[in-house]
Amino acid sequence: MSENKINTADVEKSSEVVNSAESTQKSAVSTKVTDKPKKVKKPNELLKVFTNGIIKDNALLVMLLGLCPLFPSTTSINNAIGMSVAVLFVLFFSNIIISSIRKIVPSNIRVPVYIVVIATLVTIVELLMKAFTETLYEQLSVFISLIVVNCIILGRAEAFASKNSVGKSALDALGISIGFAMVLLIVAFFREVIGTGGITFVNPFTGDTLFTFLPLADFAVPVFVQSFGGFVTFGLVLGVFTTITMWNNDRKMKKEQKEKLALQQAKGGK
Amino acid sequence: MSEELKDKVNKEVTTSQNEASKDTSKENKKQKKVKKAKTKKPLSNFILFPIVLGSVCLISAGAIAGINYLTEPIIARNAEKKYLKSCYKLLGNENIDKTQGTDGLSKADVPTSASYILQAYKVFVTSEFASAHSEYSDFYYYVLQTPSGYKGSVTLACIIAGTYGEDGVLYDMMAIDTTSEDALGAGQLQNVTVKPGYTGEDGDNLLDSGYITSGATAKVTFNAVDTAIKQAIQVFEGKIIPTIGYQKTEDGYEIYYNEHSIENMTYSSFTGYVYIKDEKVYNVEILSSTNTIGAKDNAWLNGGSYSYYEDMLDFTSFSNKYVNATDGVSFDVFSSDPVYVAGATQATEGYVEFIRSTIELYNEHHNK
Repeated sequence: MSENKINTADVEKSSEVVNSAESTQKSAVSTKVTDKPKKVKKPNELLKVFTNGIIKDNALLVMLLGLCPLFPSTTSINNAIGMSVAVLFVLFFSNIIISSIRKIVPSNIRVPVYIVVIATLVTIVELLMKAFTETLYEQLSVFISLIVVNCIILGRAEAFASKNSVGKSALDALGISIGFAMVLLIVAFFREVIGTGGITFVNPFTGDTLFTFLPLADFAVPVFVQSFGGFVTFGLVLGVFTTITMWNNDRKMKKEQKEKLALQQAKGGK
Repeated sequence: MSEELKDKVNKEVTTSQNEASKDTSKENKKQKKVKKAKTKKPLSNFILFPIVLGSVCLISAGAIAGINYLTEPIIARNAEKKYLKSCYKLLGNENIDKTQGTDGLSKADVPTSASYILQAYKVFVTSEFASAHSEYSDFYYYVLQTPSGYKGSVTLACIIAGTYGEDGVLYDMMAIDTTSEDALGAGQLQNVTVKPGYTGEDGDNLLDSGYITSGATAKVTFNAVDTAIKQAIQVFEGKIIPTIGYQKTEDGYEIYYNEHSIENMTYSSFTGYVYIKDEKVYNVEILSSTNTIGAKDNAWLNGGSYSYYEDMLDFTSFSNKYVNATDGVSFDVFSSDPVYVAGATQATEGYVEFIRSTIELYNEHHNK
């Protein structure tokens, strides 16, 4: 009996030790889990990052950033495409680079580092354009260099790339660039059609005219290809966009209110 | 049974204790690491910031240098093409004989003192065009960069026609690039028509008077254009002579301009360029010669002929000693007595003297 007692006591003790060991193991595991929570990537989240830049956070129409290159580069669709590609290149690579070095760069000197990275990319674009698309380079001239101080690039570097992963930053850059290009093309289309009476496409690599379609040449308003026309056209596009956004928001609010009212009525009825 | 159970339990206890101790030791190690990291003195900002900024700048500079290395020849070729296009535009594409030179043009030398001339080409025109403009025997195309006007400079293309080395007039001109001269005059330059036969001399006007309508700023630009064109005409007429001595380095060859008169032949002198590399003479380019027997404007060291004397006189020994464009002729060769060409003693001695004095210029340039 006494042996049995001892035995049971030992067993109880040992089981306690086992339990405690297990519990420490569990706690260790649980601390591991709490230290590094598993990141569940939602495809919708990434898609949202991409699409936000196109419409919801459109750099030109919503944030009103990067307006400086808009006016000189929207005199023709050709120039608009050139500027869009240049901005896409710089924004895409600057976002990727800045996102990948965000943990190494001390926050005190982050802005000079961003500027150096962006300036390098702009110089590369400039050299490449000068070598391969000379006519386009001459058309855009100083505004290519001015991409260095473009608020969109620096804004996205500071607001997004420096806080998010490389993948997300790349998607953000693509979204923002597409949104930027979209607005540039819309403004350029109206300015070129009204200002010259049609559309002319030039091969950016050779400088040769690919095709000219000027059915309204006699009714052209040349002032539209000057800065004044840029302001007017952009103002109109911005107005239309804001009206549509407001109308859309209004409709959503009304729908929500209706749903709330219906819910309240339903509750009151009960 | 009880002993077996005891053993089992003991075993389990020891293994679990071991595992627990392992885990705790791991945690301890981690904590030690964290402690170490915490106690480790962080790098001073005075060191860290320059390191980060310096590395970023170095990588950026490397990237730009790489891209520049790749694009530089393409950009240079584009500029050359642009210059050629402007020339074709000025003279008419159909009027240039593209079977001669490189696409109808051959590069001409420019004295280094002619600072407004970027490029100079001799233009080969078709026989039809030449006969239609029989008053001009030579056409030269100049790419000019004007002195500073209102804000910057203008890149111009102009054709100077006439008899090369004697008399020339402006045939036509056009602006290639006015971006740095962002002024009213630059805008007007696109539409101007020059006065035919502008000589560049005092009292002659580049444009018809009263044409410039946009006031003083435009006039400043036009004055700059006028200055550059005047220089092109002077170079065409041979009025701008290079200063004696080192001119430039091209393809690794140092080019020296020199003049020499043959003392025993009072009426004989010649001017030219000597190409030197690694203390060897590779080429002598005679620009002008005054009755020098055997000169005939040939680059003789570069395999050129020694004038009509070549056929008549014993030229072989002279040629064997001094003519070697591929490997160059060492400076030492010129220090010994020259090999005379029978019947052209003074002229051959003159050539060797010309090279000797150029070698002295080389030594002066290199402080030897």
